[in-house]
Amino acid sequence: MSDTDRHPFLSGLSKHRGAQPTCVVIFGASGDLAARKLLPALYNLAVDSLLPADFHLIGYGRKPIADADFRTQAATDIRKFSRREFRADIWKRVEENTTYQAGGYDDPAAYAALLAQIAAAEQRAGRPLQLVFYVSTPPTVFEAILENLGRAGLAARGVGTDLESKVIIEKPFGKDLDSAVRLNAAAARNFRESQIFRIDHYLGKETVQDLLVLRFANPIYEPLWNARHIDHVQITVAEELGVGTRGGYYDDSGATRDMLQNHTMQLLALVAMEQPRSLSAEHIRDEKVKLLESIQPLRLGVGGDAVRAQYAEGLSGGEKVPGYLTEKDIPPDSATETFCALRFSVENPRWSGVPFYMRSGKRLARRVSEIAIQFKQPATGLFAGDTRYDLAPNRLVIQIQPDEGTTLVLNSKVPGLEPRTQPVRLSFRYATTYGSDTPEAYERLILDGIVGDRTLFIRGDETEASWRLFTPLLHSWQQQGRVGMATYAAGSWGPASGDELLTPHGHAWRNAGR
Amino acid sequence: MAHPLIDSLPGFPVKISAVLPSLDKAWSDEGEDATRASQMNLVLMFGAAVTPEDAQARFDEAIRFAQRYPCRLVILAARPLAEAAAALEAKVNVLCFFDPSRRGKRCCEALMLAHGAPTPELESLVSTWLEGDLPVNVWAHGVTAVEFEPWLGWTGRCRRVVADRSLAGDVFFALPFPRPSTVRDLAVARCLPVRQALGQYLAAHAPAELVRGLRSVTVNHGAGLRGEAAGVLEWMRGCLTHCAGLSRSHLAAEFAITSQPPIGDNLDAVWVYADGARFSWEHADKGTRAIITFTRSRQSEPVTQRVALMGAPEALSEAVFF
Repeated sequence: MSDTDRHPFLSGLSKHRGAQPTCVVIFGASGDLAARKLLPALYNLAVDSLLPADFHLIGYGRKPIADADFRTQAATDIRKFSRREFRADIWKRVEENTTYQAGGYDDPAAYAALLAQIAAAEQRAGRPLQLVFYVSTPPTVFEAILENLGRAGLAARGVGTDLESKVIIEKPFGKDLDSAVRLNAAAARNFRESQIFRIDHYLGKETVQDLLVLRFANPIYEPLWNARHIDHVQITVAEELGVGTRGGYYDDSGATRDMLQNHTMQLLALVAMEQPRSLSAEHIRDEKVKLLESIQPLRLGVGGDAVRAQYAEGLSGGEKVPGYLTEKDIPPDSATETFCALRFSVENPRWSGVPFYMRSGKRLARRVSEIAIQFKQPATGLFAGDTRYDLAPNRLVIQIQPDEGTTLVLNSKVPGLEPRTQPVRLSFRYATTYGSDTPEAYERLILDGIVGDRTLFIRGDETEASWRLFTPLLHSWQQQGRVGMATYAAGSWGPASGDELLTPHGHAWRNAGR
Repeated sequence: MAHPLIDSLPGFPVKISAVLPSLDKAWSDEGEDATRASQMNLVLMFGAAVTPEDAQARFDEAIRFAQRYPCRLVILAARPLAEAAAALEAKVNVLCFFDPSRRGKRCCEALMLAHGAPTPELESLVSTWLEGDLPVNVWAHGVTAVEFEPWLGWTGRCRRVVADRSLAGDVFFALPFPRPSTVRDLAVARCLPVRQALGQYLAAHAPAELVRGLRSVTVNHGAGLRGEAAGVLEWMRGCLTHCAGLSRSHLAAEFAITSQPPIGDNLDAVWVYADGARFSWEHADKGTRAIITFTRSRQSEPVTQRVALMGAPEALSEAVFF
């Protein structure tokens, strides 16, 4: 909604300051995500005066919990996980309007009780509230929740008005193309697309949002941002930890579904898409879809574009750690990959011939998420071909986490009388410019959900375009079982076959230290 | 002659020529674990009439702001006219604190200068104290329009000029700023939660309903809140004019501020309609709670909202960034 479309008494306020009176309902309110991320995010929004003055919170979960106990537990979670110190006076303002509803996710009676709680909240507020449903449950109940919200009349509330109901859906959005299409259909039966917010929390990260600014607010980059000047792009989302206590969930998912199909593809889309016509959600998402649709299907099989592997025993942080197959809750014959590396080709005029490599895995050498854009080195030139000069290709590295920032690798003369050069880094770090008080991704995303800004959420066709690329690969691996599954030592950068994906093109993974 | 403000603020007196080297030394004294960050310059200007206690309170607010938005803090304390020829006097400080989100030490730096009449040379000196290429935001506290006038040209290169209408008065804001769009009123910034809460309430009413038959809009304020009252009144006038435009109605209301003791604790607003309808907003419970009554509304029962004016560092960030 543009500022001119808003009511005059809201039009002078920034989008985020003019949120409608709202009731957020968290499905899965007693779960880990709510404790670690959602409740602390709501608290931090309250600290920044970004919640509407009439803000109500209802926790919904299977576990019976008294209102008072839910409030106490929420305060404990906020104390433990919030990025800011707990201030009782601020939380009290939210807590006063916080209740809990116990019930099954497919139990119509529980939704009727939820409806009654919402009516009570509206009675207290003295006016209708915008309803925002946050679905942070296991994916097996997503459809049941969407259908029941529809049947209870909660999905259709306020459609077409400022108080239109909204639903925020956590990942994973499907397991493959068919399940994503089915889930999209269930969502569409009950909500309009404008009401649906598919979350990918990577899009809420400051560095990811900064990609648009970096690319399109700094005109020095655009003339270089193409196949003529860029040699290749590497996207790494590496985790140092193993599966820990999430073995059951992870074994059903794997590195490709857990990271590459969603987070990493979003990074690729933002790095490679054309400039959108405007900053509106739809224009940005249109460009992302166009880019995803111009990616060529992966070549499967030996010598193809994909590599998968599982971590074996190794060293992590100097400590011996077990291999994947001996982790808790992992079947000894599991065929789930803990590492995946892919090589994509984008067939459009800007990117033809530029490989886009991406990899993600658990128990890798260190935790890092980054995009490295490597520029071409000219074969001729003043310094080319002279072995006295140690020339590195220019490289722009956008580090998503940790130590968020951007580094540009340039060549510099080494001080001294000898004519020597070496690569140096121009480095911008969020921490040394902005300090550390940056909002968590979930704060931004929940607030955007409340104000109805879909820019940082995934559209239905976007998720399907991504699944269309990944489903043949995942089905092929499923058929192969463990055949062709490589291994890598825990604490390494992945299997040798991951490196071999790049070597035919004369490339190598960056494997950067801090 | 020691300047009372610079004398009272925490820091180490240094020669003018030694300010920047002393700052480097202060950082090195803090050790390698002291994290430094800077995204802007904040120039806090004190007028000659500001007391040491007042300056200390504003300094503390600026440090709280700097802890959240890392910046180089430059404090300029004006001398009274009679002492205009006194020598420049400087101090530096690096103030460290525990940053819970980084679980480590972070520090803010402050450079302080007592000065006489502003001159181009003084302006040049200050420019060498600023972090180059980063935005400059000026917070003028207790600075009269006469004291500020010589700095006007320099503010053309600043991103924001912030002052408090409740203290500086209308005359400060009437100065011929080279870029008027950069000037912000702290009193208006402080009232953001009021505009937010009231805006959300009033946005539930059709524009035509709000302006039809409206005769008067009055904002009453307690001591020291004239700037806030003026800000709220101007905001209401702007929104109601917009409502009239949208609904093609004629807005014939009178707008006024009074300093009669308000119904609430510090601010209230009353709208009176020709048909006897009345909208009132009372900021009660020491400014933490507002009670809205609108007899024309579908819901004529009083509605209570939890609304407090913004604290000083938050209002400063609102003024600097928005």
